[in-house]
Amino acid sequence: MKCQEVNELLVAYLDGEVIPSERKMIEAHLAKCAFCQKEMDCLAATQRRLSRSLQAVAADAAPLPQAWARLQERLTLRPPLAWLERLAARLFPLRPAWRLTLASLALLCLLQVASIAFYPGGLVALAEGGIERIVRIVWLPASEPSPTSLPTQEAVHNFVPLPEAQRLADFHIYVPIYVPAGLTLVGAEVGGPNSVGLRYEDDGMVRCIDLMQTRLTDEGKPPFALGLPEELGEKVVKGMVGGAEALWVESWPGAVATMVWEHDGFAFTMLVSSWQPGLSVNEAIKIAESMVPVEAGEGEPPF
Amino acid sequence: MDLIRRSQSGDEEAFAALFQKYKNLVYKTAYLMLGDANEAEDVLQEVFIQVYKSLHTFQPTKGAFTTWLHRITVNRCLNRRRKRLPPFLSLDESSPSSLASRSPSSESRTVEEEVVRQAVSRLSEKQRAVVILRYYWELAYSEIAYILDIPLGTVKSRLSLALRTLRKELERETGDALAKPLSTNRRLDYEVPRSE
Repeated sequence: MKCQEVNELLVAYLDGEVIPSERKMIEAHLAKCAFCQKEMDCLAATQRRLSRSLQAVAADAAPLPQAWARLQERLTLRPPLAWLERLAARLFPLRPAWRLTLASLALLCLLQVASIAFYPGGLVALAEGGIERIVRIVWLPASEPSPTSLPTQEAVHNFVPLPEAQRLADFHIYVPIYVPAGLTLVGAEVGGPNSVGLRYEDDGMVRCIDLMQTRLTDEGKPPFALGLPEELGEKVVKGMVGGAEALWVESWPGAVATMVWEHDGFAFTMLVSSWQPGLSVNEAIKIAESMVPVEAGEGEPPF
Repeated sequence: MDLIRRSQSGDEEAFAALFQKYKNLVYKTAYLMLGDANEAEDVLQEVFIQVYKSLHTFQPTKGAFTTWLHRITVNRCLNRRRKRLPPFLSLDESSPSSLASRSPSSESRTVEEEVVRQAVSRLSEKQRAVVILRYYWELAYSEIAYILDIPLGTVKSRLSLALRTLRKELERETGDALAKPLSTNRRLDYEVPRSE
């Protein structure tokens, strides 16, 4: 084999990608050609440097925690409009510019009638954000507000840092990217391998949010029941969070509000105690929809 | 394989798990190809949207899922028409789209890493693709040929040319005629001057 032929095969030879007969001829040539031997050594060194540097460059490269949430949004938000647009095109063929608006209004009226029929004593309205959400409003009685203390809690909380909770839980803990200003993470409470709660409080310990994550049962149900008896007059907003049904018990000063939703095989509850103008439904949904799984072993979350 | 089969059946939880399992493969490939964290995020989204839509076309008998995923990812990267600075050369830490804003600062990279990164960035996209698939993911030439849909001989010639180009670049940048590994591996204590 001549030097030029050997040179053309050196990289493949170093990568172990030459056929046996070629390897034999290359090695025979290298044994008696110092120039090609040196050339091979240089190429081998270049390969080593290249591999090391690519490993180093990519070592810390990772997608943002909210990548999955973003993908979900892109995969699930398109279909609902598509059927409405088709319906609008059929109903209002002569007014293309107003089709969607008219179809939305028509659907709203239909829903209003239907909800009054099926939710006696309730009202129907659209939550902000679109026609996808159907809300049912039931009123929650306010309790006496106390500006300096939280409601009495019987449970003793054992909060641990989030990374420790992640080590104890048998799943990726979800944490919100969005948290209202003034609230900081106090810690996590591990209720078992299938249940973890996060506590956010403000400086004055007046406001707090408890976020509980619990794995759904084998039947796909949350392992708890949220009793909202009509006769107590609780105010419930029913909507969609993360593509799944959510219930939000409206809060106002002095009230305790709870939101329940299902997502990715888990049931989530968000319990809010607020002695100030509390979380709005929209704020709560923002928190809920910003929840992303913390990857175990990838360091402290950015919050 | 169970995850893939369940995802193909429409199991959304399985698809979510599939995403978590393979997102780094897609992201790192895109990041190395494009040199920009934001573009890598976009490619990650685009790839998994395509996976979601076309997973039913994947046949395990025809190859590994990772090979199929690499193919989609590399094609996405090669097809991006966005005009951008040469990757790895933008070290402006204040730029929201620059790599530096979401990666260790230039001060923490070694001289060696910077030199190699810049040399790789000057390769053509097609050469960069074969280099990344071979010297980062350590894929066999036959697998690279399938991913890029090129003959085996073309893989060999592209890698040979890319290595020789890199060797010359590295010799010039480090002043080392034999392209030996650097004897020191000191960290930067000043910002690397940008190439114009």
